[in-house]
Amino acid sequence: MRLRIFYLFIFLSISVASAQTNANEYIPKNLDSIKGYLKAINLKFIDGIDGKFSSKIKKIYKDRDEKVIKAIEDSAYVFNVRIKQNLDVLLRHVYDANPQIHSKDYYFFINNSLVPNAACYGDGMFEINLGLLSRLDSEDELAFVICHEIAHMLLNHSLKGVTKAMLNLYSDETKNKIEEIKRQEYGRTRAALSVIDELNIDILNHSKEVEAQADSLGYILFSNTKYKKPKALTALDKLKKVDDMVFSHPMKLDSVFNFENYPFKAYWLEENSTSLFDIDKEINDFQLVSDSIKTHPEIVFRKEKLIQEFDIISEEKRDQYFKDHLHEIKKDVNIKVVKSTFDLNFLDLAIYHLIERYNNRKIDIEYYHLYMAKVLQRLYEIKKTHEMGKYIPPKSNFSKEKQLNLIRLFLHNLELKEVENLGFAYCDENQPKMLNNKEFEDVYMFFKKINNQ
Amino acid sequence: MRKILIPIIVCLFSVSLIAQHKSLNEIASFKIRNAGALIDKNKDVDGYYYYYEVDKLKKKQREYAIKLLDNNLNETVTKSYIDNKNTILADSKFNNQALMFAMFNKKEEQFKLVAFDRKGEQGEDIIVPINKKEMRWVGFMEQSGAFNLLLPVDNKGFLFNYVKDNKKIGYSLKYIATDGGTSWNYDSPDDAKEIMMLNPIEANNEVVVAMQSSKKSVLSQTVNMKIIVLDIETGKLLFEKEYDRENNPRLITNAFLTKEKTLVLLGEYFDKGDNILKASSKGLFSQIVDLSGKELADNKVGWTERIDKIMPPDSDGKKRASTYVYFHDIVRTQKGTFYCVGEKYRKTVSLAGVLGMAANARGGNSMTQLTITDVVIFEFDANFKLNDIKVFKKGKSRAPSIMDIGSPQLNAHALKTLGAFDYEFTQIDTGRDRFYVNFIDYERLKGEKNKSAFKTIMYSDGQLSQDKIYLSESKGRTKFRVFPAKLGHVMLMEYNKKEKKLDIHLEKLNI
Repeated sequence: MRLRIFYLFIFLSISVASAQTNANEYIPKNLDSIKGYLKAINLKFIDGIDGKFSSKIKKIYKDRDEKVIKAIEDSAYVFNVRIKQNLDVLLRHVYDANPQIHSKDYYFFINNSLVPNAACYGDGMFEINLGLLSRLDSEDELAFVICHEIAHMLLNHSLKGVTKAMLNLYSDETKNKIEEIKRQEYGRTRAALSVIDELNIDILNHSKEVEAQADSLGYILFSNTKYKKPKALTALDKLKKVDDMVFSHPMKLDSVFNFENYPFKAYWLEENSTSLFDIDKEINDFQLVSDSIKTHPEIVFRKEKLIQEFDIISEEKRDQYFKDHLHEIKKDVNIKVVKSTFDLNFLDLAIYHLIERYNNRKIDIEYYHLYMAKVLQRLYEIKKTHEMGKYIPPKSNFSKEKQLNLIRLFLHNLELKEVENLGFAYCDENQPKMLNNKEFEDVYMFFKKINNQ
Repeated sequence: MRKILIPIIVCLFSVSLIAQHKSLNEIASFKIRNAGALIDKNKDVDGYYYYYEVDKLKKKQREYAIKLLDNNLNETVTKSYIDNKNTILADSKFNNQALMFAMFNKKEEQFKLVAFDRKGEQGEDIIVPINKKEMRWVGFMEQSGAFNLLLPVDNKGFLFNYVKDNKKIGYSLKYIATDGGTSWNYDSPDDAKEIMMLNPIEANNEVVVAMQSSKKSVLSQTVNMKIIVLDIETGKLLFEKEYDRENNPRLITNAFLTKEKTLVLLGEYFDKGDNILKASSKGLFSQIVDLSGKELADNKVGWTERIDKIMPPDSDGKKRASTYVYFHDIVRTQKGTFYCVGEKYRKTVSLAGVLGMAANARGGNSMTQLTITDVVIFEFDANFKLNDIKVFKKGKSRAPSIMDIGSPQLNAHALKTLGAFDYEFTQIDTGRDRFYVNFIDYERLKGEKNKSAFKTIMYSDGQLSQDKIYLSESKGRTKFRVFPAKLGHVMLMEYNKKEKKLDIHLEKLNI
């Protein structure tokens, strides 16, 4: 009981403290409180683990907790006041409509990742990626995803999943297989890979069922709220679509980077070398079956199951009756996505998000020009120190992300001197639109200086 | 490094849990045997290979994995390959039509040439028997750096060069067509009375140019050079040009086939009777011959007449009389101008050697050493008129002389085979008319710790410029190594000792 009060206090202190700081949104001032909260919920969760392999399972969760703390210290999460405030409103709706949820220990972190994903850690920690907030279109959809994650928590899926995998891994059957492999003189590696594959497939198959269970309970929680129920299906649809392509907005780089004093050069988008192979997907004679299992069928399966179980389609549509907090969240997310990719030096993604968001009027012209100029400055800096390849992968012939490939080809083809000229031309041409913007002026000065202007 | 797409709402748990099971992972691990780059004659990198041992099979067989990365470091193909347990991957090349691997088996005494087409399908293997003596010679020649085991002929085929144990040691050049043409062999005479070696250095869709060297015995220090030109379709000798010690001794560094169907030969010339490995050369030459062997031009630039007069002082401001230049490469630009790349060196007394000699009267130590200093680049016009010599400062390297009594030139040749020079390689970008000369420089810095740097001198738009990459982070936690990459790039390998993290990435050289 004492423990619960302790980390309830920590939980509240996170909310309060995060509301006070905006200086560094990656490392909050109350980092120690957050660490304390995570350790406390982890400890409580680990204390509750018993039975077979409990020490091994406890170690898995303990290690994971350490990884989460390191990830926070490595700026993998964003602590933004407005996003949190809007998310809290949504969560309050869900909790109020479902009093059976004991949400005192729950905390939703926002991960910087652009992968449209969310996760339940099993001990009260949840995370929602910026990529998911960016991908969904309404508060209703986000509410369903949150209900789904809470359902995982209520159904104790994390611990059950780990326990099941451990039981499989250390079962007599698996042990015998491993012993048999060890006795084998020939073909041991292939045999071991085959066992790993079987275990992986079992986990993935189990995961399909588990996701469907979380959908069902999640939908029950969701249907207790005032959110529009068919949006549960549209949320799933969006997650299915993103598997095909995330970055589909056309990147007209030859117009974005074409200036009167420094016109765009066609060779910046030319691929000069010949590929070793004339193939459209990777060939791997050692690929495991489990590696090729896609998430598509799972989403289709889950959607159909949800429709059968709850007859969602025929449900009467309700009118939207309140302010959509996801729209509010997305205003910040649009900026955060650009800033976070820029801060991480993922300049290919930063350019994509700047162009896409500017063209779709999600960010204003001043923010667009400021960050595009900053991107060019950063590009110059990481090229000069021979670090660009660490952050921006080269074009891949196997990637479906053609627009992203185009940006990568462009960035890799640019020479340092060309970035110098490009940055100067960009600032010079857009400077009249950016009067009184000190940050832009600084970037302009930087390019002026290296261009000896 | 970054995964963009995993669109699934998950309860946090992943298959990586399997990684907890140590013994399974240990059994399923692939053991790396070797790795390398697929490099063409311009030192352009087409991709990278990794050769792993996967499994032990019956009858002393092994399953191997050959993993191929494209020149953007993307994994493209991982093929299973089954062969004898003693098989090693000796070389690999790409000719735009196929990939060829030279697999070597010491125990079975053979090379196996394994080809994969552009769909990743394995072709028919070619077996080339090779005995122990031949193997030793191939090893020795490979170490000398003047031996292309496999040479790709773009859009045509591959040349496989090896040694034959004839009456004396000879050579065999095997051409394997990949364009549907005829494959052939060109061998040195079985009854030749000299040791003969061949190195194919240039080929196009018409001819193969190879450098033949011959000497009477292993200990003989007189080497005669000959250029031979073969018809690529038939393997028939079109012509040969001899550069023997008695009449016309020359050390040929490079050969180029031009669009105008001429052959340009570049190198150093000597006085009649001079030994090209021992004597000081008289100067540099460029010779142009047509594909029938007719000499069209032979331009020479002498040390005393021209070079010495315009040779700038060393980077420390001193002009030394006994300084030599070791030429590593000669590049012909698309404009027809030439650039000779070399390093300055001189014979000096080794303090360590003298002290060692004093301590050990039986010998074993060299009292002299070669001190290798600046990079020099000679610039010639299209008529081989020397226009300029540029000196690029580089830290001193010292290498103990192989023998105190030999000439500095002989020692330099010997030390070159041991990798004593700082020069790494030159890449030529014919498309953009650029070249990149790469070397390692040990910088002695005032007020801070000395650092090794990978330095590149680049030629672009008629100008030479420099770029450098330091090979260790200031705190010393991360070690860097630089490998060849596609034109105008380097592949950086960073190893973080503390985190045991290995990262590879491509970086463009800054012009």
